[in-house]
Amino acid sequence: MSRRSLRISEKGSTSSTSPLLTPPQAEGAKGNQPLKGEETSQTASRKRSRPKRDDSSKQSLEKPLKKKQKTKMPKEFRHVRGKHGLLERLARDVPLDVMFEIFSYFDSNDLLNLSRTTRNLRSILLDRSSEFAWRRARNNWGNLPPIPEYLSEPGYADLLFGTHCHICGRKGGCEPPFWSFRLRCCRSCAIKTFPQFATLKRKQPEFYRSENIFPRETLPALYRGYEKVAPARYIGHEVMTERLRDEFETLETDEEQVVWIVAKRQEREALLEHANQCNVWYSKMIRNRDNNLRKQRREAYVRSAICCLAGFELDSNDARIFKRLEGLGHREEIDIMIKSWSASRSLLRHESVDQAKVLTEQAWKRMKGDLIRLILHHKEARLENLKKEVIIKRCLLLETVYKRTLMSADHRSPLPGVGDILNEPSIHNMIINTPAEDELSEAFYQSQLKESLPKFIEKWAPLDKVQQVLHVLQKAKPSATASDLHLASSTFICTKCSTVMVFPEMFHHRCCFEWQPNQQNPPNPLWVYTPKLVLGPWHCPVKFDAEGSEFVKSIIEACGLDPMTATTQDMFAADPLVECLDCQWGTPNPLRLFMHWPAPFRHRHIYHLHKNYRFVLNKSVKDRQTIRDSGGPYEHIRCVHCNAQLFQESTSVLKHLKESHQIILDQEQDEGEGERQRQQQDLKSLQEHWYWNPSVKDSKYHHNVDQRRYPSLK
Amino acid sequence: MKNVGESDQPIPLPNVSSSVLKKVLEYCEHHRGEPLPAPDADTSQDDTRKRTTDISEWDQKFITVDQEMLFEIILAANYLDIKSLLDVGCKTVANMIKGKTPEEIRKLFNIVNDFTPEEEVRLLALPHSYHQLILSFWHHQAQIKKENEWAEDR
Repeated sequence: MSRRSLRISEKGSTSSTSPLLTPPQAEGAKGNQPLKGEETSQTASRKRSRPKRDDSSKQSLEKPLKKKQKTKMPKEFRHVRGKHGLLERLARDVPLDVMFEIFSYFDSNDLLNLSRTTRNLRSILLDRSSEFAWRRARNNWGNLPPIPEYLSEPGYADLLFGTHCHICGRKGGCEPPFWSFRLRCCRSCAIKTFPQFATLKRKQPEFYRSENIFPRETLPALYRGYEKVAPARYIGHEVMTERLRDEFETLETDEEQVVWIVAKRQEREALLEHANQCNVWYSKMIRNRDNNLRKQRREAYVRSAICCLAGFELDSNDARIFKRLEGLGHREEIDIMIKSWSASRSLLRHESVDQAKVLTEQAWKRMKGDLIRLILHHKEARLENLKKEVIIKRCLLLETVYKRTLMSADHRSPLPGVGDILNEPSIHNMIINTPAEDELSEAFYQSQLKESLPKFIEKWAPLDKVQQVLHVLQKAKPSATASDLHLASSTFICTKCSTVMVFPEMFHHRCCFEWQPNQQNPPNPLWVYTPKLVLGPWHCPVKFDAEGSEFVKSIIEACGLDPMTATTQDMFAADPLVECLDCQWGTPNPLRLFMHWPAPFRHRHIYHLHKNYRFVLNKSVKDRQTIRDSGGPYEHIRCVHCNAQLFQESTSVLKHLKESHQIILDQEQDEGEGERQRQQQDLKSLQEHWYWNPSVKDSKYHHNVDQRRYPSLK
Repeated sequence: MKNVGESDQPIPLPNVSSSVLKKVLEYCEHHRGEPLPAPDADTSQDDTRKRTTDISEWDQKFITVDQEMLFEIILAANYLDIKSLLDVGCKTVANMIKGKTPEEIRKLFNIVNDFTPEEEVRLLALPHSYHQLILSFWHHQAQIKKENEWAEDR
């Protein structure tokens, strides 16, 4: 390279002038002038300007100069940028081969921008000999569509990456490139410059007017919100169209004209194809660039967080600030904050922390208060949340252990709920005041409950609770006694969820254990931590269901029992199987609904409250067996001796009595015809060994029987 | 150094200052024993190969110097024919320029825009022959319009 030898040979003379002394202005420099001339002109201008500055400084007193030295900016804050003018030297002093080596890392867009910085660079880059640099820059994009024949390398780069209007020179707001016209412009310039395509086409020779050979572009319609403010417009290029006409008119024969049209059509198709490729590539490139930017931001954020976690090794503003905070004893909290996504964002993106400036003592004083407040606030909120989490966990564990304990309890009498246990001061104090680090295990709860549950049940006073329910019954039936509560016809309805129930189901109903913070005196402090998560103490939000009671009476009568004396236990022993005639789906083989007691009166309350409820009592033993086979039996009853849950069948009861309690009854050995019927009747005679289970859920009393599967069912 | 051969005589390096030479030696010391980059036998493929500006961590730290020193290092690497150092320098300069607008580049390197306003307008629209035609057509149309208006006034 000629530049290289020149530089080396003249190094001796040029090295005397330090690049530091080169002024940034090079107004006299011209791209086309030889390098030596350019340098001399610059040196001359420097000589002219320097003495002026020196003179003025000499004229002034020395004191201000000293003052200037005093106020000199610390070294760390001095910007090295801008005092050297590297690029200027790059274009002037650096050998061409090195310069093109640097250019080889650019893409077309960078070269285009670089060519617009100075005359020197422009003259180098737009020289025909520099075409290889543009070609290489284009290749750096990888998959950029090839350059069309009708464009130069810089022209192609400008069409693809430029942002200026080629007509008015304004930056931004341009339409996508008009590939057919080989330019890019804004909408207003396009409307002013280019005629409507239809008008232009009308003027063209008829011979090829309908051919797709004219340059044409579309300005899409403009919308403001949903309102169309400007229609779409098809524009043509008058000069190019005229050129086509000129070309056409030079053709003499028809054959030539046809060949020309075909060639032009192909040319146009190729152009459209290329334009489409470029548009697709460009939108993809923009999308990828956005994604990369987002990814880089995320990575930078994670990296800074990791650096902070790894002991503040990052030499950044964040690290300096965190070191200072560490000195104040907040290191542990910062570590915790950085591990949490949201807290780390609030810390690392805090306006004081997220700054490129170097931390000064003054800046630290300004931000210190804010940061410490942020950290302390986070610590307070975190500890509160931690306490809440621990308390909820403890409450839920206690609930699980208590429910397990209740499995073996006698369900005939009312039992306190977990809310009542939690309402006990000794229990909730234990849950709240035990430090979060100390774990309250399942075994601990078991031992506590085993020790204090009998005393607590006594304190809870089950009889008082029964009395509360009796008061409810006595409002409807003033003469009712405690024994009337057990009657099957004594039905109740929940005032909150309208669920119907019988005694003692209200001691297992969820609404009866809902928190009532306003009515509690003194209020349970657990409410602050566990609203709605854990059940509250028992209360009685039920009323007597007179309508339901009448319906139950009708069923009792249908079963051949006396409504005035029949208890719920008697109804379970009778086990009427009720089929709802209104709930049949599909024909000709319907899905039929059969229910065990007490589901029928609940079903009527939910689905057929305001209708004449049509039902059938199915007493056929064969049918009962078929229905049983479709699903179940379920554990609707409990053993009197051990409170174990049993299937609602005499065989199940007899088997349990024999295996668990060594009680052998004669009925077990009965075999032969009518065995099942006898067994069912025997459930009545076994009443002293079982009681109905009030904690069973409703769904377990239903049987949906598909007639297609059991065609014998009548 | 092949030309010099084995000699105790000092080798003058008039184009490299001592501070720059120190930096160059630091680089060479760190990369001692590494295989030399392949000779430019495949320069013909250069045009089609995608070039990246990735720099290793050490090199990046090494080349974090002010612009003047960077410039001197590039020149020294070129003069001493240290290809890998030249690459690092070129990549660093390329990274400084990449993705910046002309104005940002001027600001970064403190260079003055030596284009006249007219030139600047002109350079934004690259010399397409078609574009020139459009401009001339546009001006021609405007001229005709003016003349027509003038004629109507008359």
